[in-house]
Amino acid sequence: MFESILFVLLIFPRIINDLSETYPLQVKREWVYLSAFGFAGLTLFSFVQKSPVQIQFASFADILSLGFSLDVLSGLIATTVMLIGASVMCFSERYLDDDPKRSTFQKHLANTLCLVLCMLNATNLLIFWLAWVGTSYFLHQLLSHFSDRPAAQMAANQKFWISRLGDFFILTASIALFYVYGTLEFSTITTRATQMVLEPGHKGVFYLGAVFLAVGAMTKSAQFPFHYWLPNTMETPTPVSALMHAGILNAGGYLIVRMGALLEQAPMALHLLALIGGFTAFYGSLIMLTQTNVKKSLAYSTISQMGFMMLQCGLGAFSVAVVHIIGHAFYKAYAFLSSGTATDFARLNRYLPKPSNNPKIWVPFVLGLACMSFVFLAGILLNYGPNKPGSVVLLIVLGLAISQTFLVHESKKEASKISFLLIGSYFLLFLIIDRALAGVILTGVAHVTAISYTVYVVVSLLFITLYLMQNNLDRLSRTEFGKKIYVKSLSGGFFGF
Amino acid sequence: MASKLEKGEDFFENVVSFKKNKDHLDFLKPKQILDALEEAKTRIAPLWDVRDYVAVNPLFGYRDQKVLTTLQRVLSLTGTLLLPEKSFFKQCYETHEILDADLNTSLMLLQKESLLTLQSDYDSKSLVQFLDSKIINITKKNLTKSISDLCDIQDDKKRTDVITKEISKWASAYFDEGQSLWKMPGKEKRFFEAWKDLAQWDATFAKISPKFKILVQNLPRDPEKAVVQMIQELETFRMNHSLPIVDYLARNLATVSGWASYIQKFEFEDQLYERTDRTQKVGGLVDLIAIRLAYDLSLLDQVHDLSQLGRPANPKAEALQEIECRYIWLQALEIAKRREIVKCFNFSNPSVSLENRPLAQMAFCIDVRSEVIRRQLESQSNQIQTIGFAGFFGLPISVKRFGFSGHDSQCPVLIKPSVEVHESAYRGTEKLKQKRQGAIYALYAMKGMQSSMNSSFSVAETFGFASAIKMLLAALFRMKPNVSIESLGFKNKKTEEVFLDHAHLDLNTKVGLVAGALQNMGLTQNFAPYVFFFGHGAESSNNPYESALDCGACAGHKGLLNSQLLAALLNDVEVRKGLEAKAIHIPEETVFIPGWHNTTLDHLIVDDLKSYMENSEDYMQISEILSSASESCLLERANYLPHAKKMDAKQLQKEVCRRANDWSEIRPEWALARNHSFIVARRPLTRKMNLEGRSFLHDYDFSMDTHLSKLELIMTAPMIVTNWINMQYFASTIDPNKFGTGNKTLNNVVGTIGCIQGNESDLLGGLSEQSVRYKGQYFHEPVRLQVFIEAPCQSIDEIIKRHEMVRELIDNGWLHILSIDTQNKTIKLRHEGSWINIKEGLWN
Repeated sequence: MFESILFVLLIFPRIINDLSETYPLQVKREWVYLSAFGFAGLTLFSFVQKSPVQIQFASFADILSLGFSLDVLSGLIATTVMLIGASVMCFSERYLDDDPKRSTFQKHLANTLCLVLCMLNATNLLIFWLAWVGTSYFLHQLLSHFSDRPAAQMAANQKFWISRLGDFFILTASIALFYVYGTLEFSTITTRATQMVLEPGHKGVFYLGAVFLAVGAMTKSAQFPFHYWLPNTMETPTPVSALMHAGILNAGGYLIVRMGALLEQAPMALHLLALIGGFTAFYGSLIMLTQTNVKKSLAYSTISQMGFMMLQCGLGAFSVAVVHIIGHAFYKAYAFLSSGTATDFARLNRYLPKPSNNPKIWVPFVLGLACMSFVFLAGILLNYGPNKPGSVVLLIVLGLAISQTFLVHESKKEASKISFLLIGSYFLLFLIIDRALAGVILTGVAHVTAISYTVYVVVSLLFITLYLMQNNLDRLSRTEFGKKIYVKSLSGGFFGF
Repeated sequence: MASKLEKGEDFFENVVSFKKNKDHLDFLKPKQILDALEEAKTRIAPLWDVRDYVAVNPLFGYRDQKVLTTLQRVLSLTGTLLLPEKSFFKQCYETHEILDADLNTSLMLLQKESLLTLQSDYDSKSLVQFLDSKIINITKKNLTKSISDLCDIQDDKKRTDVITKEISKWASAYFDEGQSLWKMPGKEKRFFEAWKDLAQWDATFAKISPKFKILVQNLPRDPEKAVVQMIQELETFRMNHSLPIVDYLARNLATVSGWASYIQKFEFEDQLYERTDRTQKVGGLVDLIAIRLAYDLSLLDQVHDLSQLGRPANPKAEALQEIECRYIWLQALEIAKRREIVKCFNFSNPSVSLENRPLAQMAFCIDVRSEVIRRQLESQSNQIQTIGFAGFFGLPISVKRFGFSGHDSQCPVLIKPSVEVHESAYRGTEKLKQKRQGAIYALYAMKGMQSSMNSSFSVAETFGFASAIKMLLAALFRMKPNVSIESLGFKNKKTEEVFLDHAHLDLNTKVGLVAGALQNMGLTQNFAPYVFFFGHGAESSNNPYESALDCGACAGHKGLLNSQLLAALLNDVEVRKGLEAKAIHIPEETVFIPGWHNTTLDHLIVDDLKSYMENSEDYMQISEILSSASESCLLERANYLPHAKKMDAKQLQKEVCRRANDWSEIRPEWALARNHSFIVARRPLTRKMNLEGRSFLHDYDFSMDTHLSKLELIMTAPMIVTNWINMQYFASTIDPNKFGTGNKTLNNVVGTIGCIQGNESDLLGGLSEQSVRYKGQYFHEPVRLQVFIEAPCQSIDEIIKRHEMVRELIDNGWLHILSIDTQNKTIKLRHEGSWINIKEGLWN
């Protein structure tokens, strides 16, 4: 029975869409939310059963099976995507009330959602790849909704070519992995990756596959230098942005987490992820600081957040990355859908101008890092959670967030409250997700080498630089160097695009 | 010449030496250039930011010119033919809304004015045929050209659009009020200087124009000097052609008209407040022109032929004919509308005797939305008398909210607020103040953490889950995502915590204020036991242009504060004593009650109505009248609301509540759409008329206005405001993309003060497509305002003579003015300075 529920859930958005178009009085679009509850239920079921919910149409030994399977990882993300997707579908109904192409738009929206669900619940690389390509096809339709706007066409075309590049990387990676492991099934690949010793002749192909997989994920998740199309996609109605930023871009991160066990065997792929991710986080948030319109700010924010997600993956902190994927998805979807409220701040500003920030940046800096050292020690003592070397980087980032909290808040009391809330919910969420994913994400032994430590140090320094830069903007603005950086950031990039 | 240009690097040194050789030619003197600059500047209408988004006539700067001339000029500068589509007229003709007679009248009036340049023999038949002619194609070649336009004609690199986006990028960085965390370096300098400092490093435009960088570096720091220098440099290339400098500058400004209008607001306000501090600090339009010229001139060496600079190619005869014919049709439509209005005037009972004292008097704003609710109230009971007056109720105030430091102006933008009032707490002032300020600071801090480079990651991970809850609440339970500033930090209802404090005003000021308000309202005798003042405001969610739906007479804010203050002052015993001295006697039992009209829900809201009324029977009766009037008002409005036609009262309530709170709603209400007339008369004249919410109504009794002071006030303030509203709707309806804010689904809030379209565009002004059209069709009927005044022609002429601006608006056809003579039951139209009787002769 659960199998058939899963199957219905996968096409549920399209069913409800078509029903509510045909019988608007009887069927409400809000019913789409049911699928989110469905996925939540199945996730719980699979967690309790400790096995995935599977539908299989056909199977070719252990090479390939046609079907879908839902485990806790895909279930959690599918639930998130559907909560957002349902909100976006309902939002579009009134938002595009005047649009002559509204029903086509809704259909594309529903199709995109169905394909994202198929992608999340794919059992093997082939189905994943097909759904991946399909998603980008319907997204392309949504991005070129206003076909008479040249800028919309341009953005959709930019995205089109980046996506084809991504398709190529993933396809090549799949072939390489099939060559090495003799299967396309996710579960078999990851099991074999952790247990099997590679034949010497396969090593090169394996590394090629792993690195291409990482690069393919980067193209999907708008990592530098594949990011430049994203800020130009505001030529399409707001709900599309909400869905894309919250439900589609993070597919790259999902793929990495899904293949985590394999990537751990290829440290160079992880290092690449950490470095590119860390740099993208830095780059995106620097540009975001200067952006003057709300949607572009959000776009650069997404770029940097996706970078951070990739960094987490690169550090091997897969369950933290899942927390990030889910949290950021909700955060960004809400931010886009409510972007019309950005003018509230102009009103506030007139009534009570924003106070200037606390200039003492070192005290909070030390405070934040001290906090995190404490957490780190506690982790070591309890031998749980944040005791891997890579997690130091993430603790530094969290520590800097605490420092920032003390900088932006007027009262120390308020800042302590927020910091406490921040740390508390961070570790609570981490514990929940980590426990839920315990059996799902297979992790082998991570290879921590001297190169890894170099990567960790470089990335940590990037974040500390960010902290110092951000809190010295006035000083920076007075130098020629700072002005040049400002101009480049305002224009949206340093590398000619 | 071309070979000289190709040399490149030392381009401007060449220019200097070149100029020396050509000294015998007489170049424009700096003075001439600056005069031309002034001329180009006056054509730009101001644009307010979204906090007080009041309607403005986008062509206000052209009021000294005939509409027809202006339309030609607008076409040549922007490529927009700002007249309704032929298909629209065709529909009007086929439904017999416009008759042949109307066409003939329109034609006759225009011929009389000798406005038609073509002088071809139009008649109604040829005009009808014209509607089937094919749409003329206006290309860039037919428009006034800047250098970038000349480049664009040569190839398809669209440099003009790039320049608009580049300037918009810099202007939004400079005028940003809170979106970006990294403020533009040099923001304390004026716009031009700040731009010059940074633009020299901007590689974006340098890619298109290699000269850009050197040019910017060599500009003087003073924008006026920069403009003079650049124009003089340009002139060295003019050869045998003289440069039509005003047109050239105007075209340059037209490419960035949104930001130009935004900057014009600073100049407008400085003039009004008789100060210069804003323009000195941020600079004025000259800064923007200087910047635009710099981009333009950097392209100089890419143009092959400069002879067409600043002038349109020969104005096409077809284009001229198109404008004229559509103009004739527009006027015919207006004549048809007028015919319908005039027919309904209620001459028969000009003085419905109000000797028997009404139970309640209710004053409303002149807004078109008040017309419906007033008619419904009056139809409930003969004992209700309603009054129409500008929604700020004559109080030129600015209000400081409790606990805050800034002020909100609560009077028309044409008036400088002269009285300051503030909200005070009933109890625990200090604590409440801290709480309120703390709430704002917490919001700032949260935004700071979200957009900060370090904390954003952790915030997204943790507080992101709170967004999920907020998203579900908004999507499923219609919870507004907006910050509710009104009640921020209050535990109880706002009215229980704070009140509008006027204790600091001295008695004379108070008495002066209310006496003026009552006199102008015409409410100086025969006070009912209950006098209501209803301000108005709208309710919407996730809507950057929320204030466009609010009261324009209150500077784009809700009108409740004004009605509260007026009622509080009038209920004050001391003030009433003071009024006695001014011969205004208010009976002791009369109470003044503040309230507001929620135009989205059509609710009449009075806080604690019962406390004002000792007599519970009156209370029952009045609250019954208020609620049934709002219900019928809502039912009437449902005829126009999409998806609401067949709903019953209960469903309708639900539907409008949804519109007010739904974050995905793009059309909370129709606001002032379909407005077509402004009637200044005693209420009995219009009392039984169904004006369908299309008329601004102002009460005016000529017999009480011996010095014409009230008429003067009406014609110089509310009449201008209604003209601004009407022209804003007119322009936005016809071209929502150039004269409005375009499609709402693409709006993108910039600098927290306005919107752009999509990725990047000029700052938007006007109204969105969804506010004026429905599914691509005009919902607002684009016609010019018809002002009916119940006063003799001579008196109206007298006021016109006194005020140049009023004369220009009327004589150049920006609005139609008509005089109503109740005694003789005639109506006269002012045309070309004389009055034509429209009941007899012209059409009937």
